[in-house]
Amino acid sequence: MPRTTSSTPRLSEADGRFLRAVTRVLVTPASYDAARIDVVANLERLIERANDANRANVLRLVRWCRRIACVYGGPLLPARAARSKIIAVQKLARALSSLCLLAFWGDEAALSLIDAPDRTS
Amino acid sequence: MIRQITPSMRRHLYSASSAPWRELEWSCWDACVIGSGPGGSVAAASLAQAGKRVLLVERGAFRPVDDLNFSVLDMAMRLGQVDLTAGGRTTLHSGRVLGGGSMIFGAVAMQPPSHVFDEWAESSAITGLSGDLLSPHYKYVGDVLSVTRQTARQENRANAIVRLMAAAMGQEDGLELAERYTAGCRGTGLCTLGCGFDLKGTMVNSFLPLGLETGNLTILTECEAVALETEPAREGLRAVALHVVLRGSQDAVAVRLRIRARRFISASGSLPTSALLMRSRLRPSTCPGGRVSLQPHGIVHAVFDEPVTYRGVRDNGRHLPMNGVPAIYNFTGLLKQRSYYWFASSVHPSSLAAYTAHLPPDEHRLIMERFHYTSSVTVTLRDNPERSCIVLRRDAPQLDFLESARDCEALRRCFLDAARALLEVGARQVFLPMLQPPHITSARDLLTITAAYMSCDRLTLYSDHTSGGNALGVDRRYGVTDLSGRVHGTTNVHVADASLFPSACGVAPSWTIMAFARMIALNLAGTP
Repeated sequence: MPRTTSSTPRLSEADGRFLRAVTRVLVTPASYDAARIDVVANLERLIERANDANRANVLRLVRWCRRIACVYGGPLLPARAARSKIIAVQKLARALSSLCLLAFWGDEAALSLIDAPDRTS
Repeated sequence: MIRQITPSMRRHLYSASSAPWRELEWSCWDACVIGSGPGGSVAAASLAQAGKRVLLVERGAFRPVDDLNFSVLDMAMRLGQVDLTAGGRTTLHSGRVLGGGSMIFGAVAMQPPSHVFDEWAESSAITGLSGDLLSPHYKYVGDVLSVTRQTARQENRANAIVRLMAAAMGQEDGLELAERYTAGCRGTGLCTLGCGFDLKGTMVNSFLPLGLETGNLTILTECEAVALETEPAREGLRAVALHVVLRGSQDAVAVRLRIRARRFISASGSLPTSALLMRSRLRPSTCPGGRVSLQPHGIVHAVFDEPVTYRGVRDNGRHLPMNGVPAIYNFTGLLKQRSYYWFASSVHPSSLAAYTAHLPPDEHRLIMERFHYTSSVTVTLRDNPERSCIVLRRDAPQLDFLESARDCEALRRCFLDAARALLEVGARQVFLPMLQPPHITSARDLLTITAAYMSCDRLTLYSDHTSGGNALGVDRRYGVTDLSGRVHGTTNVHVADASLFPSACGVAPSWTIMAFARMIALNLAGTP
């Protein structure tokens, strides 16, 4: 039988540091500290369980965002790129925000912030 | 009624690692069905019930019921697949698991209004194409999936807002409570994660067990269809085999197989089906991949002073949001007039967070802090793109489309109507699905929508109702397939999914896909 090989890529340590910093910008520091959610561990969990196509898309997105982040203030990328005139950059920033927010708010610990909204301010 | 794939049925369900390769290559099946979503499962089960030996191949894996839960981190990105259209204009969602799109749909059962069938009959030049033709099949599918009309008692607060919005627009008579494939829905609102209670009607708990219990159906998962092998015959091209690649998610190796069958039925959705036909080099007999409709969705969010969603509950130690989805309103009044419909979407915090990720961080934090006070209304456009075709990029399908000016204006009208109505029923602030959304807190701000540049490039739309690509047509001048789903210019290649639709159906398409698939399968089995 003809055979081909494949491997399962993962987030690097630099990716992890970048994603943690971005999430801290997207969620208030108070909420971030109160919920004690490890966004990178959650992202690893998402990626591990994702199908091949989604996993590849996520890793490609993180790689591209890290590349352009130096132009848009590093972890401030979601806020600054959203005001960019380049549509592709706006979309990239939005996709990165979605990913980080999914990893944060998808954690059950985040639901306690929702049911007690006064703790998030 | 919820059925299950029992341990004895699993003897006919193989994955990439357990597949008996030699047996599969030596066998010649009566039919090979590609894709296990609503179309493929119904076609495979109907053929198996008619005594045909059927092999169903599915690209995704089998996720048994005890593998499903309500954890976003476990389930998001596991059952479905997210793709982008060319240029990243819009996001496309599809199922990639045994059961296909049924595992991630909202279990909403809708039939297109009669004027849609009239349009289809006209554009395909097929006389007799009507809702009546499909009605016995709608009924059969509805019985199997326990389609039940929802009651006003099940209405949640977000739905009530849609009703108030309709009244504010003088359209209250145009609202209709939708039917759903839910026998005992508990209203978590997390259908798109795959119902962890297994109370949503999916192919895995309905048609696939029905097919497997006959003993005539064999299922092969983690199996990707590559191309059909064809040979010339007197009446056109005849497919003799399907080339597939078997690859498990953890497997380092992939295995290529050649599967022989008398008939091939592709039911893997608009993009994969069109791509399979294109890779099979059926041109010039037929030209698949054109006239694709997106039926895009955009979610309008609004923050209110009163709570809109419910507090969560504990269930087996798990915190469930329980926002409820039972009463989904089909805004048929608007569908006819302006070609779109609305429904209230109840969301998990993570989906609200992801769907509003385009907002500036300070506004995003506000909306998350006010989660229980935020209502989401999904607007769906029955589109008619200016250009839409499926192209192959490194053998993978990609949708290249350009929305028409009419669609852009319809979307503007849609957002204006939604924002105005939301403000009239008490919304404090409205958030539109635009990359740089205008700040809307009063009627005066609506002018910014009128002045905004509308283009899918600037909007955060998504679609999970993609249809067309292999439209019905009386001959190849009008479409790619005939009313029996047979691809023009071939003798034994059929299509049984939403790619048959000549244009967007305007409503959730699953029920219509299943009705078509059953009609096509019964015709093939000789028992229409």
